[in-house]
Amino acid sequence: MTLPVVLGVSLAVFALGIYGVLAKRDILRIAIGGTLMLSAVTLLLVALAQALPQQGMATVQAFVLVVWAVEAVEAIVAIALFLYLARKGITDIDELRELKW
Amino acid sequence: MLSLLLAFPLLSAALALLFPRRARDIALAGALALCALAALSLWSFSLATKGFQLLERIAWARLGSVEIAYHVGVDGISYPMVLLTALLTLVAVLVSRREIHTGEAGHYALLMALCSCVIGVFVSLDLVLLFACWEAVLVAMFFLILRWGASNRAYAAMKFLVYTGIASAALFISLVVIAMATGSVDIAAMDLSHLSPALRTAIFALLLFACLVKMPIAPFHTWLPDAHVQAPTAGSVMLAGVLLKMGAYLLLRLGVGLLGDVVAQWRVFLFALGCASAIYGAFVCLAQSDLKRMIAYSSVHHMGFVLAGIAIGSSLGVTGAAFEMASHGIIAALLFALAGLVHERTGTFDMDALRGLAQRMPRTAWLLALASFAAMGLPGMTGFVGEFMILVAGFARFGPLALLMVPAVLLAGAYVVRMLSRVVFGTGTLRASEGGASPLPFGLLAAATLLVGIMPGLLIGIIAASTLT
Amino acid sequence: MIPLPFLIPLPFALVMLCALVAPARAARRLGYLGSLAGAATLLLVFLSYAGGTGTQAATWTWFGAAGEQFPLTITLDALSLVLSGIVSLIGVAVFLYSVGYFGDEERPSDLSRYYAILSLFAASMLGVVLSGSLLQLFVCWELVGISSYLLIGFWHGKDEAMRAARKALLTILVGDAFLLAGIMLLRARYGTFDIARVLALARPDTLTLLAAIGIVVGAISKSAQFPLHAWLPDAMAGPTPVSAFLHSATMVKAGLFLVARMLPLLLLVGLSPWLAALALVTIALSACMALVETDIKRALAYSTMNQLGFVLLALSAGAVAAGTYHMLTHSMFKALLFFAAGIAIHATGTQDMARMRLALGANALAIVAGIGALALAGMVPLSGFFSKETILDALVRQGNWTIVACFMLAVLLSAAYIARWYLLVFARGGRDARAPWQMMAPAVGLALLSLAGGLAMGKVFGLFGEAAPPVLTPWTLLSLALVLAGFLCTYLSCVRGWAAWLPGTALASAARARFLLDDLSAGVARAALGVARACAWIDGNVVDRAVRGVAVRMGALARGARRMQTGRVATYAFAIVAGFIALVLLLGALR
Repeated sequence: MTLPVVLGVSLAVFALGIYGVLAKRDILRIAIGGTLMLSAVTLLLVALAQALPQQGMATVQAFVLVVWAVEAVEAIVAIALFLYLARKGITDIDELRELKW
Repeated sequence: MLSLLLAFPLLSAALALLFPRRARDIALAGALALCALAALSLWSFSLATKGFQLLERIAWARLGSVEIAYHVGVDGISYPMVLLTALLTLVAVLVSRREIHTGEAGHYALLMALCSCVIGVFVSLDLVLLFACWEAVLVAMFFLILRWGASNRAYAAMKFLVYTGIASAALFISLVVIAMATGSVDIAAMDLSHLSPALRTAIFALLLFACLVKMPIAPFHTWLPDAHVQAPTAGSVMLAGVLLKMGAYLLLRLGVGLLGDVVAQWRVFLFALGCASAIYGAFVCLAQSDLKRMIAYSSVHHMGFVLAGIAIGSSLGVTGAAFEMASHGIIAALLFALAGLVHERTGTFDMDALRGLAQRMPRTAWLLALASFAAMGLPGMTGFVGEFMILVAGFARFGPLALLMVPAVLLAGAYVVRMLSRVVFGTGTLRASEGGASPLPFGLLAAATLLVGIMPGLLIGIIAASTLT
Repeated sequence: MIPLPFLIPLPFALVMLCALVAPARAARRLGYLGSLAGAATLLLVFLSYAGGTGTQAATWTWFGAAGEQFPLTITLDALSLVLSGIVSLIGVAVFLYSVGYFGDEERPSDLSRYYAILSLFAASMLGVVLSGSLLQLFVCWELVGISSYLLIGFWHGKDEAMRAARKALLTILVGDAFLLAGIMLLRARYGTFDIARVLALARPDTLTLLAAIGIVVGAISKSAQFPLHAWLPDAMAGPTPVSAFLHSATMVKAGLFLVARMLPLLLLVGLSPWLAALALVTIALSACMALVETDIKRALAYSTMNQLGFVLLALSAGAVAAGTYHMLTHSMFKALLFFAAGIAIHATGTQDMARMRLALGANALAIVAGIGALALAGMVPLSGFFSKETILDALVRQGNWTIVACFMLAVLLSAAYIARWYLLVFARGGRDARAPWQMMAPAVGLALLSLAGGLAMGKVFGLFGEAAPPVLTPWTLLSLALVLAGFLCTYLSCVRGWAAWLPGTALASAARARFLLDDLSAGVARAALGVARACAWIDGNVVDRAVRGVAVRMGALARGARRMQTGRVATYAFAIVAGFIALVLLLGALR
């Protein structure tokens, strides 16, 4: 796969993720958007890794693995949060306003 | 010696907190001990030395090239203030014994801590120590007003803290600039003469702003009436007696002492400002109908005179200003203490309601009359000597321009007469009795006023022991 | 070793201390103590003067500061001798009179306070007249003013008395401010407080002129001359001994003393015509007001103003000896008249002359009052005649015939008004006046002195090193004729009822309204209060408003900033994204 294509796809997915986080009101959709952003970034990193020397490749691989691990944990926490809120009947993020002044 | 004077009140404060139920007696003992120590220190003070005496120094820390130390000492300008603080602390404690019945431990602790920090301001020869004590004074007074004040205390306390806090910020900036420019924070050894004129003017401007707010001088005075009216009597005594003098002292010590030529450039302006503030304060005082507010504005009036004396700059002018600082401390404290007693017995400060005081509370009323005459500058009491010296110095330096001071003197008489005829004399429907009030705090202050007024030589001798006079 | 002259105020000072610590039972007897102190003071005065001839001075440095000296100086010369003699002599009389004046209705603590302040007054008054340093003069001057306030307001429960006391003190304070300015200007110009040195060094320049004006205004306020006179009649609300002592015999002389003491300076800067003008206006106004006044003490107050105007006129002509001699005689017969008035008030229970009915006849009171009245009018052979003649002689020698003519008219009017006073009080048949001996004895004593006072003329003038003017001259006879004419006028209009249209004239109405001058001074006070209220308004609404405005702005700013914390996650997320982009762009721009 050529670099420009991957760049384009990655940006598109990232943009999609940002759109999901900022413009959506459903909590699950926001969480999905966040995951999309992370995936886009890791995709980009993996693609760029080809251009790097051996040492760099290893760093990228390590980085991406860490990101996946964090992403997994984050997903679990997000799902747990969402389930808790869903049981309360809250699905709209605008209903969470406890941090207001 | 000076460290003892600083430590004793702090010790009393700590003990008062540890033993809340004995707090009153601990505070009284501490205040008495402080007075005794202050009296003892008179022996060690040499009238012939022109520089700083009773020096103590403990090196503390080093910030870059700036060495910060616990460096204390007194000279002719600060020593009377130390003595005054000791006397007023005793008066404040005695007055509080009658007035404060809730949260006593905290009150006396704060009062003693306040005392210690005020003495700290007057004796420190290290800028960092001075600023630390200055800020601590603000905080202590804030809590005193907030917790034990009158009905609108939150507003007054906040106003006091923020307004004088802004002044402290200006002071802080100027201190930082000094430290950066000279690499030292030691007042005794400081020399600012090699700095550029622009820098010196900037430092002085910041310092001046801080002092003008603190003294207070119109138009930066409006925090004072509210603070006084809402503060408890002990707070008012300390506020009018010594806190206001901190500003004048700083102006003398750092302004005249270190930046004398800048003061000389600004001389006429400062003199006119002082006279204007005195006249304005007296006019506003004339129109008041609340006794405590009136006394507060009379403080603005007297401190205007002090500024005029400092601005004159001559040896006699500075002596007069320092004398007036001490004298006004005693007189204002006496006035506020009496006002506190009147309020305690009658429940009001409203001058119209208090008419005919001399018939119900004769001793209090006549003492109030005596204190008012002192405030007016009647010869035989301290107010006259300080004012007279400033007047002579002013006319010697400025000639006919000094006529600005004369209306202020006249207006002081006017507001005193008005107060006397509204409060002390006349017939009224007042119901009050003065039995059982201890005459000690009032007697002490009245005696001080008369003694120093009839024989001012000793105080003048102490004031002369300074490089500024 | 304290020089003897400094001991002169000591007896009265001791009485003051005694009064402050005396037990209640002894309060009444303080009056006798005060009399003794007066006698002792008189003795001290004579001893001090006998110790040397000519002018003496004794200095004591009260305090020194920054290389400057602040001395108290006592000067003993003719002027201070005569005036301290007046103070001590009248003091003897007044303290004794007070014992009889205050009945049992006064509380002992009040009496102690009275005697204490009266003694303070006497001691400070002596300080004023003995002073050779402007500092001492001012110090004692202020003390005199305050004791006057406290004495006028002795019955501080009475609103009328307190109003009068306040008015008196405020007027005097205005004068004090001017005097202070004058003293300060002199100090700045000549570098000393010492009066003798200032007079020796004096030059007629602007500063000295300003200082002289200040001094004159101060003197006018104390001596109740136009235009600062409105306080004197009201001051009659105080006890009669106070009116006799302060407001006729001594305190009001203090201003004239100051003029006399500083006269070389005042004449040097050319204030003589102004002093004469002020004196003439005062004389004219007070004579008119005395002629229509119905209150017994107020009428005497106006007559005091009038007689003091005579003294000021003499001083403006440079005749210090004549002026001082008139001060001496005036204090004796004026105090006498006040004593008589006090007895009359006690006997009749009213101060309104229209309602008094006292017997004329071989009544002791009527006789002594008559002596006083004749002395004031200037009838031979009483002391007042001699002193008036010395003034007339000085004015004639000065040569300004307008002034002489005015003076003659004043002589006629003063005879007229005192005759009217006497007739209204004593000549309408009624009861006898009984008074305790403590009140009669001083009156009789002063009456005797007024009879014999003419003998002192030579002595007094001798003290000043001048020769007494001749007594029998055409001018003397002319003024005697005018005095008799004045009596005649009064007799004709009051007893015979001639010229009944006189009280209806515009002049009379103006006089009854006190020429609106009282209202003027009240207006000035109200204006000052108005300025004060304006300043207070500015303070609350302009200055403090700015301060509060800052606080309000800060609060608004804070509330605005608070709105960033919406609590909505979407907002925070947006902020993170936007902030990040901004940061990246910024870093890019910086590179």
